[in-house]
Amino acid sequence: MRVPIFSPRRLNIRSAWNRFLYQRYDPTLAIAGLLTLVLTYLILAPIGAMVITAFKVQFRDQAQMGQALGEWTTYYLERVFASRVSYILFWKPLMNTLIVSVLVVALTLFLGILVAWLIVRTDMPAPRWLASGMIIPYILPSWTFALAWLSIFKNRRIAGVQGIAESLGFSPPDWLAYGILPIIICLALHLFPLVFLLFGSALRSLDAQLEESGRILGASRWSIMRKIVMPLMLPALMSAVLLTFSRVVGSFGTPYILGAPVRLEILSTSLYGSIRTGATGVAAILTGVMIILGISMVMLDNYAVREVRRFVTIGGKGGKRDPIRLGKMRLPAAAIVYTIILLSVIIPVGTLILTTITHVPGVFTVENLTAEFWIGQSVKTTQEPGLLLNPGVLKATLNSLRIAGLAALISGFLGTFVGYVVAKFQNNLVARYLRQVSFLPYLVPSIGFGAAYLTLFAVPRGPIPSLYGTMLLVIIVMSIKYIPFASRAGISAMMQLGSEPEEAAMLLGAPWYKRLVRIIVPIQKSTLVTGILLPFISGMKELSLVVMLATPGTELMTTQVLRYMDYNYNQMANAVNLLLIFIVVVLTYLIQRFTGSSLARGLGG
Amino acid sequence: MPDIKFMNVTKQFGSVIAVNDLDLNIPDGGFVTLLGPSGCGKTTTLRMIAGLEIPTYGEIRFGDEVLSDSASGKTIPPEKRGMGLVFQSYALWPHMTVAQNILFGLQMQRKPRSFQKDRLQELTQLLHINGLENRYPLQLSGGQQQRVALARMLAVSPKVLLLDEPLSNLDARLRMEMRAELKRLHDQLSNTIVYVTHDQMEAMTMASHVAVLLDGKLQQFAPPMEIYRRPQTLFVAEFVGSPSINLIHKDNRGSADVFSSILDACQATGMEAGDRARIETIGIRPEAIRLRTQNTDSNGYWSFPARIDTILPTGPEWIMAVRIREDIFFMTTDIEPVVQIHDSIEVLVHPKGFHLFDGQKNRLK
Repeated sequence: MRVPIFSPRRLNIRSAWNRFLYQRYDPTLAIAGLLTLVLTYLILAPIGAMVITAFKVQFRDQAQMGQALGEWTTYYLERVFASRVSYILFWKPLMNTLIVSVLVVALTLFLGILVAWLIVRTDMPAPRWLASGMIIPYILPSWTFALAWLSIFKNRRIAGVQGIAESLGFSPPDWLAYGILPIIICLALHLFPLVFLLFGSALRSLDAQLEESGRILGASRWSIMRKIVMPLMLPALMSAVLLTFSRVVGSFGTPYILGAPVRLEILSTSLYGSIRTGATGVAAILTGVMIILGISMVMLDNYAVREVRRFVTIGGKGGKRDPIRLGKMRLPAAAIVYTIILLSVIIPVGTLILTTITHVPGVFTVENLTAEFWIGQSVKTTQEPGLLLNPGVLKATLNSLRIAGLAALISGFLGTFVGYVVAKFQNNLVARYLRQVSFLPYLVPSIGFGAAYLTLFAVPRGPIPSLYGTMLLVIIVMSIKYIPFASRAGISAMMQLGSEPEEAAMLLGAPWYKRLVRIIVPIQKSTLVTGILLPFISGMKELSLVVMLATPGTELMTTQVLRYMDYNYNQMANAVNLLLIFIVVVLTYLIQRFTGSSLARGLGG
Repeated sequence: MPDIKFMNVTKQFGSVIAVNDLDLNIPDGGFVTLLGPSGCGKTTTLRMIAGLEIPTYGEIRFGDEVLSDSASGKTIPPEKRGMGLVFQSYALWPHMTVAQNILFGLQMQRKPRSFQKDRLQELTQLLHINGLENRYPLQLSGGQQQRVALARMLAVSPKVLLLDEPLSNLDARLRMEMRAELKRLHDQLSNTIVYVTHDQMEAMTMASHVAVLLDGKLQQFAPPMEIYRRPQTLFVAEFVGSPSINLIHKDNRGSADVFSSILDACQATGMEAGDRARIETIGIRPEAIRLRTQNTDSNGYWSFPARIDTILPTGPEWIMAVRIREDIFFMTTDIEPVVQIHDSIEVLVHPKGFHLFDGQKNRLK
């Protein structure tokens, strides 16, 4: 408990002034005030603006609706949920979203649990790198799989260079080349590492004595698995399921790239379409639906975790146990795991590489080899120079680095300050408000958050000019979207630290900025660095958040991939994506070297 | 019920030797504690009895039954041994209620429901946990969890009850209560109990026999009072007793005259010169040291001038630190001392109170 220095009952001007002056020594309150203002404006205002948009007549609909601009209306609500177009606009995409999510979740569970169990529990030959290798699909930009899929399976329905299958004399049918099946497979290959990580680390940290107690009481391996291990894995699995589900609902790149050729829409692509066609009212309603989906996921997760926490806490030292001997199944098990790596890492990346060094992918002759996509003066299809000489690509790369870097820095520091204030004020009103507001962006799907920013900042409002088309807007939206991660990390780090170290410095006469620079920042260094580097990597791969905000002047690597795909310049898209993968992998490697940690730590064989 | 026999048992983990050539006979119905500092191999020994570890070399028998034998490679898996093991962390299954935890073993044996019900009632009464059957482990206090863990293992009427530091997670008061409870339980059930602990007090108070281990080697196996009174190695002397034994080393120059003065006292008791020459370390238990007062009969005692360094009253007794030359010695007395700090005094020790150790740290005499 923080004891108030000035009695709140005798609040008069003099005391208020003294309080204000006291901020010189302990500016927590001032920081809290500033954070409250900034976060309220940048988080609540866009969402609020969007809610208003959903219920007010928009400029382009005035005539059709017979209502004046800015009047209140339920037109958009009806249009989305109960009109002739609502099936195409909403119900069909919703159904597709649900089908895709459920199947992706099922597939990731199967793959993730299988691989985790084999690597963690059995004597399968598993070199040290195997567990880290399993994380790679998740590190790759999510649409990598979609690009590779198209490079292999595209047929003559869409323009551009032919697919590898076509070159080999097999023309894939539409259902194999585009639409729901490839979307499910590609998303599952990208997301199964989440299940692998969560389930694997829970399995690894399960106290071995819990199983040994069972053995001593005469239970067979199978009984132990069924009655002890599986029930205790439930919370981890539940988190994995909900996380995967919300990732799928929020995904944009993969369903856009693979769905567009056959007009298959899920909620996120339908929302994108609405914005692109200027139907902002409809877009606002769709965003609302996605936010509600997001919130219910989080609430379900909280509820489930709380229910389970009543009697289960997972934790403990793990402890060594003898691996399960697979005997004859040892090699088949290894074959399964390596096949998964092959399918989720080597083939996708290999395909991208192959397409960028051949004129026609899938034709294996020496004349077909080319370097034009990398260092050509003018690529035949695009009439632009190859990737490494291309000023547009260079600019997009620099933009990506600059925007993701700045956004990561800003969100990292904002998050740390939120943590500082929350840890100091504990449970008072401001602390609770900051804690919750800073978590809010997590609930809003990226594409909806981008839409909300577009709504608020497309036109000048009050003293704030229209920011659409500026780098600043992209930086702000990214910083704010990543605040939940930074502030969660900041809060838990600061809570853990407690206020004693700072108070000790206070008693020894250190002014506030010295305490910050000499005590807090050094202690929280590694949290801060991870809290900046991780969002930096995510920012490099960010597409759905910025896809509506990027303009030719603020093109990012991710939006450039998408633009090339829109024009069916597959090979250029693949090349830019390869460059992006390269940057992301290097950054991930650096972060692991720097923090000495690894996402897959402790999962290795 | 039969004895548990360790015959030349060695257990290696990679290049680390956890248990080194252990010979041990745990008598039927005994309450045996394995005592030693962390990493001495006591838990590994216990886990080998349970079958959770398999010896690298040697043989473990349970009467005539071979539990593990490295020569033939035969070993009985833990689920077939019929032992009970209570872990330090209790390892209660957090997703099962107290009743489900306790009855798990009986369900594995497919015992009839009515039998299970009776057994549950019996055990909850025995361990004073009745009324908690439907709670989850997290809703219980540490002491209650401890009792449930015991009940879970007792439910299957194990031939041997193995306890791995079962009281180390409890607070001091609960620990005392549970010690009494375990001893009562042992009297009631007359099982063999093997008890691992690093707390010498626990080992002393509860056991019928204590096995002291260091670096995987058995140091001494004897009833507790013998361990205290006649420690066979320097390590046992140091490890058992609180405050711990006072030691004087031969090669410590600051106390050379103290050492030689004690040798003289030993000579007076008729110790041979050859034996005396082998003495490297002399130990004196705190309660063996007395202060000379005017009417003390000091005949036959070794005496030496000292100075009171500090006095620590503990309630029932007083611990005094006395400085003899450069060394601080601790002594205990249950009579309120009349001396003050910094007083010059003289200490008395009867030669029987000297524990003499040779260069190999083994007991002489």
